[in-house]
Amino acid sequence: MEDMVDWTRFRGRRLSGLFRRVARGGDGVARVGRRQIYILPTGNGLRFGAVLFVMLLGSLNYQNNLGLLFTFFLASVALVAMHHTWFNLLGLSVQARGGPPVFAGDDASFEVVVGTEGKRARYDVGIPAHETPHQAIAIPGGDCGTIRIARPTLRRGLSTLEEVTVETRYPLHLFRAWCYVQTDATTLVYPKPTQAAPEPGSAAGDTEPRRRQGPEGMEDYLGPRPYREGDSPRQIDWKAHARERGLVVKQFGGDQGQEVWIDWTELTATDPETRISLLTRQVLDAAEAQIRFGLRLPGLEEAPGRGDGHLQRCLTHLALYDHAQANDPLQRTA
Amino acid sequence: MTNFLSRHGMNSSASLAERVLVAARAVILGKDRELRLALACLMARGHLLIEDVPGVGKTTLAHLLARLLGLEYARIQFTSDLLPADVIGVSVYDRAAESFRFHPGPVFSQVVLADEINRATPKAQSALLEAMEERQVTVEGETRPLPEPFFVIATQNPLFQVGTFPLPESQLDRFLMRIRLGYPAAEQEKALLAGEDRRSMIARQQPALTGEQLTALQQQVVAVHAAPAIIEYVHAILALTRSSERFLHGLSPRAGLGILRAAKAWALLEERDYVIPEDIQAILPSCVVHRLAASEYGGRLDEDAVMSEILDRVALA
Amino acid sequence: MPKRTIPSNERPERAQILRITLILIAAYLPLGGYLAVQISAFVGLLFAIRLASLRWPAVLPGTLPLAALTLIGVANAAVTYQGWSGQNAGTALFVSMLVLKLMELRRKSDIRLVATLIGFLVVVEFLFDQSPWLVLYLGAVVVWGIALLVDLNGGLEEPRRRGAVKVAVTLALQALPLTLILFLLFPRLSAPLWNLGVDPSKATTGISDSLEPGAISELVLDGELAFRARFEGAPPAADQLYWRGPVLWETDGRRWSRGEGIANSGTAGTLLEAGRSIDYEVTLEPTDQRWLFALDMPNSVPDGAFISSDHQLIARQAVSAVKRYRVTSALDYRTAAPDPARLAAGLQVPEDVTPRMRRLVDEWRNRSETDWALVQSGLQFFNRESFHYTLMPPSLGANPTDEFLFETRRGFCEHYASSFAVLMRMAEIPSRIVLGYLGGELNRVGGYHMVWQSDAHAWVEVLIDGRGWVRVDPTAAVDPSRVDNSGASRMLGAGPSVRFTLEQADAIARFVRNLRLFADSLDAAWQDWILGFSVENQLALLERLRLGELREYGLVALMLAALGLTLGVLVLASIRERKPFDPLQAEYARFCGHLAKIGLARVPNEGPMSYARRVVAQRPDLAPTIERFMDLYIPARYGPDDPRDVLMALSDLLRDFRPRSASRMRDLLRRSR
Repeated sequence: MEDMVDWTRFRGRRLSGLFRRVARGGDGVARVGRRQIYILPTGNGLRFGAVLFVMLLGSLNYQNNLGLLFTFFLASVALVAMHHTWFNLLGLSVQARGGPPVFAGDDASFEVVVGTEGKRARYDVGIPAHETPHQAIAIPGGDCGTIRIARPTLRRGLSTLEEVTVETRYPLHLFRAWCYVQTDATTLVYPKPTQAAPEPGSAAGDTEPRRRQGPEGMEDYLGPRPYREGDSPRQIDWKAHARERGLVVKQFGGDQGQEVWIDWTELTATDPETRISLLTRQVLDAAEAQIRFGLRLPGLEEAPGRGDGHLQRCLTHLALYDHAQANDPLQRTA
Repeated sequence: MTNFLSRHGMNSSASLAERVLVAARAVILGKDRELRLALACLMARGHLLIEDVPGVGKTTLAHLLARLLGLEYARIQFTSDLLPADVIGVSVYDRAAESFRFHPGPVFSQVVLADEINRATPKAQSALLEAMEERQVTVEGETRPLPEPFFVIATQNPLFQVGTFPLPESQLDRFLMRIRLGYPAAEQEKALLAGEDRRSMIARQQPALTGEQLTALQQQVVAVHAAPAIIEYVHAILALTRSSERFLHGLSPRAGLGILRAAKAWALLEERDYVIPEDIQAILPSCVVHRLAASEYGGRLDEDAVMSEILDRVALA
Repeated sequence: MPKRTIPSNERPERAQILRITLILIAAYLPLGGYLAVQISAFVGLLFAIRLASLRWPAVLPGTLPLAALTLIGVANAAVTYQGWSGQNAGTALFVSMLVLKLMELRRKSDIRLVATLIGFLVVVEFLFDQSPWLVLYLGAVVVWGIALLVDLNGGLEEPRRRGAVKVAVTLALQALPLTLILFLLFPRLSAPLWNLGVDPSKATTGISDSLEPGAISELVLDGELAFRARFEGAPPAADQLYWRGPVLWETDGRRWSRGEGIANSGTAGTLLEAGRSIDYEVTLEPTDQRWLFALDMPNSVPDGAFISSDHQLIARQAVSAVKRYRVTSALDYRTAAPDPARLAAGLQVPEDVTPRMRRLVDEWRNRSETDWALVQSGLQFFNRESFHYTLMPPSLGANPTDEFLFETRRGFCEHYASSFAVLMRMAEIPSRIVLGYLGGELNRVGGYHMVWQSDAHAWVEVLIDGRGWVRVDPTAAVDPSRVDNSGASRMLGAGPSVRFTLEQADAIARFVRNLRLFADSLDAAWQDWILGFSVENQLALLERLRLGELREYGLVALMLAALGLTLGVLVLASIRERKPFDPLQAEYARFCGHLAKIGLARVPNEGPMSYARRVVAQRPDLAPTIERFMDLYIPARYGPDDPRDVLMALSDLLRDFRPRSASRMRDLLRRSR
């Protein structure tokens, strides 16, 4: 499986310079232009051509005009079909977006939205995939359709879908037209958590473990606080926003319970990536136990908190953490 | 859920509606979206169908709405032995007047709560459903108009429950919206358990609107502007349901009108005097899912699948 | 060989297997009549297995039985046709193997291969039959096959099958003009590169190069067409339509033949005088003979032919396929005097001349001052005496001429011509017999004359001093009242010859006749334009376009230009789709474009407010501009007021709106602190 992935990457890198790609337009949508479409006969098309050639030679030789007539008819159908194949891609609008974050090793999912802007419907538009069967969709005129693709992830960080190949063999499978479409869809890849991790040390002063039921949203309203990246949009006080008070989050929560610090320095593993995997496991465990926890990385600290937004923020830190530059401007409360 | 805008805000009417919502929220906990949909439905002069398993507060919601809107209210418990006359009313010979006198049935109320409508036989169901459509009842050759406003709030159990007569799609089309309540979230459920009996709370509720105010609201709904782009969007949705292979048949023109009316009411609740695409998207699940049938025999449509089929595929310019 | 797993979308569906089988059956059906029964039986068995296997998959043969079936198929074809060579054997082998391929349709590409080879099968079938009906039928089969290819490709909207047929018909219709261009202009070979496998054409009927009693009357009962002739300008009168064929010199009293050493020897026959020229074009059905037919007297030579000293048109090669040629004839003419050898041959008299024949001729000679007067006496003899014209003459004995002249007096044109020529020779007037056709049926629908085998005729030419060879038709001298209209002449499938005046046709008969004429003109067009279309037609077309000098290069250039033009028209017709321009929408698209550049593109089904909320949630720093924009845009687009005054404000706003990318999520995180 992995060989295959490497191979495609290799090909992509080596040849991408030779082929024209469909660039994204001003609105983020890539529109397939006539110079970016490549078309070649398929194996079936070559066989069709060979049979046609034999038919042509035979009919010419025996001066069989009806044979010629049918040979020419089939050749004309192929010729027209080639134009239909080409047309089927022309003017398609392609836009990709990343899916929800995944853990490294899982498949990152992307959605490629392929649409038509005119009245003409498109058929058999697909994105070739090595692992899954070729999935092709039909797009009614003025409409769009979504193709979901998965790409394996190996490392944490941002997985970017730099390019997708959109192809079609409509209508007769004699020709394959394709184009390379540039995308910027990214999916966040969390570190792969280890199977198990040591229990993180508790913060001083708070010893009594207290576990509460129910997610954050169900708790008492505590009051507003300024918006922070990662806050769920559902928590944003839109009414306040409409009154031009800026982005404000409605804060809920009970009394402050048990708190733990998940700390880079507490771990003994030497390989930074292993440490990050261990930290990820600790974060996930703490979130499952619904404990208030904070995250300390060299040069970065996430204050203790709880809930989905907090968990995501911590995982995002871990996904994007660059330990080689621990002293970069990210450093805040060292 | 409000918007960025205040320029076209319609504060008076919005606050009227808001008043109903605030009062309702106190009784029915954590169901803000459903309450808004129900209110929008009534503001759009549509009948409402509430579908869910027994005991999640369907009847409470219906009762509460009638109460808050200050309307005269009658409840019909639909059972398998219910007769059409139990709904419409009967003529009884009045010895004093020496003539038949008509005793109007519960349907002659402004809000009719048809409880567990799918427990009754199709005959009794159709007596009510015909009244809904015509807004009048013909008894013994005499046509009697129903009061104005006239709402039917029907509740029904999910179809897989035993002993039910499912309403056919043609009848379901008469309900503007179908909403589901669902189980309350944990916190709300705890509050419900700890709190006061809902029935007595409803009894204590004062009407939040006068009859005139309700009529004014309904008239404002009609006046909400729907731009050509919106009409086009609704049309594209209708066309999609008609061409899609997943549905047995597409949405009717009546459904299209209903979607537009409901979206207007929703826009009004959002303090706007014009419809934006998000209004359509907000009310669409409640307006269309009950009107569509799956194309394969015995296939069921779940709400999310229908919405992803419809909303995801219709692009907005 | 390990079996590779076939991905699910490459596996053919049952319905597709059923359809390729049905298409192949439909394509095979016309061949059934031409191939031996054993071949059809084998092929039919395979079809049955394939169809049954759709219901009961176990029926499908495995690898070994399949190999056995293959051997049986090869052996079957070989045994049936005693070898591999020949058109039938080759076709049988090809069809057997093609149908065997149906047994292993594991992948969709197997079906595509079979569908492609059906195209080849269709072309092979045209070696057997070239009727327009077959073309229509096989055309429908081919379009059905194209629809299957579309269906196999998938990715269509449901309901798939109807969509596939629609696409196939569209493709076929768009391909038609291209087909026409290729057919007209694609350069042809003027001679075959190789020749094997195709059987020579079947025996043909028609005039032979000898004459004996009963030869022509047999031909007259034949309903076949001999040739079609299209006149430029007004056609000559029906009694002028003597289509000249072989000229016979030698007779033994019963049989006339061309005569060794005399026929077609010597220099080309020239006309001393020629008047009333007439141009026409003849489309001759295959005769397997070298002579061509032309009106008396041909005065020009078509390509690939010459004119003999007997004024007969001779092709350089036997006419084995439909041949078209243009000739000019002179209806009034004077031929040169023949050479001495011909003079002698023209006076050769059979040995069995009887005294009463001699007496008859002597009596005419005494009465007549000139040769021409003697000829007239002879004709009067046929006219006055009780000669009958009949298709069913009594059989004649040892001396047919004498018996016919004095006893039976019932005969057909060969009897009259033969006996008249003998009598003239006895009177020392050189004479010869000409075979050919008389008359022709005018097809008003097609504007040409049809000449049938039933129009076959024999007449006499006599040499008159100062006039050359003069045509004399003794048959025409018979009193019309003695023409036998009943009996065999009714059996004539073909049109009424000028020799018979059939009873007035009623309306239905007229209608049937018109229908027949119409069908024939279709057939003629088919012959002219499809089957007979050749290098000559192409060059004529080039001439008409004044590109004659360019020859094949002109053809290719013209073909490419026409193909390009037609495709261009098709392309343009597909491209044009325009949308109305809405400035407000354009501003919005610009706005979305700016945001898309920083990775916050709008999803197609996202409404403006949800979009704005999403963007603001991710980039709170952009909130003021986005709010301003939406404050203006949303009411303008969806509100009741005229949006025009907002446009300016929107474009002002957008002029300064250059959001910068948040340089990925890292920066975003920093900002949130």
